[in-house]
Amino acid sequence: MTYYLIGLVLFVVLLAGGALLHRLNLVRTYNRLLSVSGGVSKEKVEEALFTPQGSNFNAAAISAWMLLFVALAYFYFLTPRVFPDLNYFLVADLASGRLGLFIFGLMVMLVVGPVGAASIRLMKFYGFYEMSREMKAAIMLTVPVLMISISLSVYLGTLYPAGDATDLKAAALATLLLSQIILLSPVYIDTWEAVR
Amino acid sequence: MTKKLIVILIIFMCLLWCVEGKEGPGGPGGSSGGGSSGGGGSHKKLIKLDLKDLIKNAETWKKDDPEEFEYLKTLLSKPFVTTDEYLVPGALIYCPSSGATVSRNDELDISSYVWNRNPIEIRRVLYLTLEMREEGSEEFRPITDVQKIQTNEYDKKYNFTERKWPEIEYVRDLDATGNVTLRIRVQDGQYDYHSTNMPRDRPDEDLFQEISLTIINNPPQITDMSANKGPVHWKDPLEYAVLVEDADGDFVAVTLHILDEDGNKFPEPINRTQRVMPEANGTRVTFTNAEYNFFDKDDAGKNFTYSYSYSDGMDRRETKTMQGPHFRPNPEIRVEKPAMEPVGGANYYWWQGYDFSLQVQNPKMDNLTVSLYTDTPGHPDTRYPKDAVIGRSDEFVKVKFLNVHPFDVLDSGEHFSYRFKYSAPDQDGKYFTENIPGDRISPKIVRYSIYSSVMVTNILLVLLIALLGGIVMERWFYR
Repeated sequence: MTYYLIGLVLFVVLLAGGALLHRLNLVRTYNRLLSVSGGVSKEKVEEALFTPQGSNFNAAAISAWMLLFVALAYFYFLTPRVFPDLNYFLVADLASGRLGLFIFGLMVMLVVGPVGAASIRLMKFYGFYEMSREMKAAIMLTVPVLMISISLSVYLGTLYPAGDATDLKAAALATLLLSQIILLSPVYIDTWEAVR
Repeated sequence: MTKKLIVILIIFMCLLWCVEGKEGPGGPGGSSGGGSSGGGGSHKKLIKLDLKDLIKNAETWKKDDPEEFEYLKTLLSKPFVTTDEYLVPGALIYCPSSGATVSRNDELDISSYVWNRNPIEIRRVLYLTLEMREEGSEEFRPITDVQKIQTNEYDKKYNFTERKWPEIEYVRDLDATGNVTLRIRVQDGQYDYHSTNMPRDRPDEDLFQEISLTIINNPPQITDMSANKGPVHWKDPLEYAVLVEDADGDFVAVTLHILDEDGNKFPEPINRTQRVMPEANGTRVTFTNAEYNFFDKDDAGKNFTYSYSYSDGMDRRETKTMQGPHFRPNPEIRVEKPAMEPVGGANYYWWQGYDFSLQVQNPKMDNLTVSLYTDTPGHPDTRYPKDAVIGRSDEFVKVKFLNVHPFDVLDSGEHFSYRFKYSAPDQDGKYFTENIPGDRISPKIVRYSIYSSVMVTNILLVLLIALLGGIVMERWFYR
């Protein structure tokens, strides 16, 4: 249980930290530019700072973010192991169906997809940062990494309640957190460079 | 004049007869007494006069010649000797709780306090009666026997005496409720008066001309009612039992009313009453079918209700209507050997199929419907949607429900049970079998392996939707 809680705390801290640092990065850069540009409107500064990253990257990033939350849901809410009173198998009709797992994932995506995409767009998440080709590739590669996490969680579900399978759980959590770190890496790298 | 002579003669004969009676073997009142007595050596035949004859004659005289009869009475009556010194004796009620509100089970400390200051030579025997006037009545009525106080029963120094009425120990002995007034009636042969004629109360000594009591009745109570609700066979021993209590110790009449299933009385009401004097901790009253024969074979399959009414003679109360008994109908089918078998191995997975069966002998019903019910904590008493219908058969027939999938993932790890219901009463008069315990359903919750096409399809669909979602969102928000 502790294992799961630590993972959940790490996930929340990384996510909240990324959002906060991104906001600080934005404010810091705006203020610096506004102080040197003299009389230029805030809207124009924001427009000048936004760098289009390409539609393929944007679509892949949104897919990755959706899969990140699907992987999180599968890891924590698929079996009664972590939350006995709040899990997928309590929805008996859904969980007893052949496509129940997919529908569960779809529901997660329907909830977080529009919200996440709108947030990314409105917060100018990736357009604000200078991103190398490698970084973009890494972010796009989180999609298969997250699929590994999802598959491991599903496999753990098929074993339930037999077997502890700690190594598999660790692998599922590690791939989940690794993907999250990669998705948030532009923020943390920019902050690191600003600190330096 | 002649008649007077006859009367005197008769009286003389009576006196003679009395003397004879005392001396004779029959005793003073015996009509067998008698015999002969000599008078001057001459033989005189005596007329044997029976007491009844004397009474009969007296009645005739009273009717035929009232004047002479009155005269005879005067002759025979002993005149009261009333002297100028005679003082009318006094009487008051002694009662420490005068005017109190009392309960019927309270003790009633009440007696007469009589003083008589006449010298013993002229005292007369006093006759005391306790009288009571009830609420709403204007008349006093005697409620005790007469107590006689002889002339020598008074305290020699203070010339008083006390007398209790043995029949009045408790308030309930007055046999009344509400406001009652008590007084004493005193008769000495000449004077007839009441304690209320005394000049005053003497409250410091708890002595009163009359006393008023407010008597409260404690109504009877019945508790701990029990009856066999059933379902039972009409021949089974049935007992209605109830605990009866009465704080006043009154007799309580408890009536059992047997009613129809809607709580209505039958055209010919079925009532049975028992009268009990409850003990201090209550008395259990039972009405058994064996004793009263409430039910017979025609009542098979019927439902009844019942209630009690009870009364201590002053308060009558009724209980609410209660259910019972419910009689099993007479059997029409026989069932046996309910069974269950998992299909494809005894793993008891929730997704597994199960075969259920029941042996039924149905010689009477054209279309007997048999239903299957399964029960788990997640899905209690769930009916399998397809019933089995069988026709008449003198032999046992196996009714089968094959490859039934009664469980879902919510039932994993839980114990289950099952039962059958049918449209005719079985050998026990029931329309269902008892719950038959099954096994524990396997706690495994995911039906497919990770390598199965179903799971692979699920995972790929998640990936596909995520990619498509990314494209759609990108177009939606970024363009």
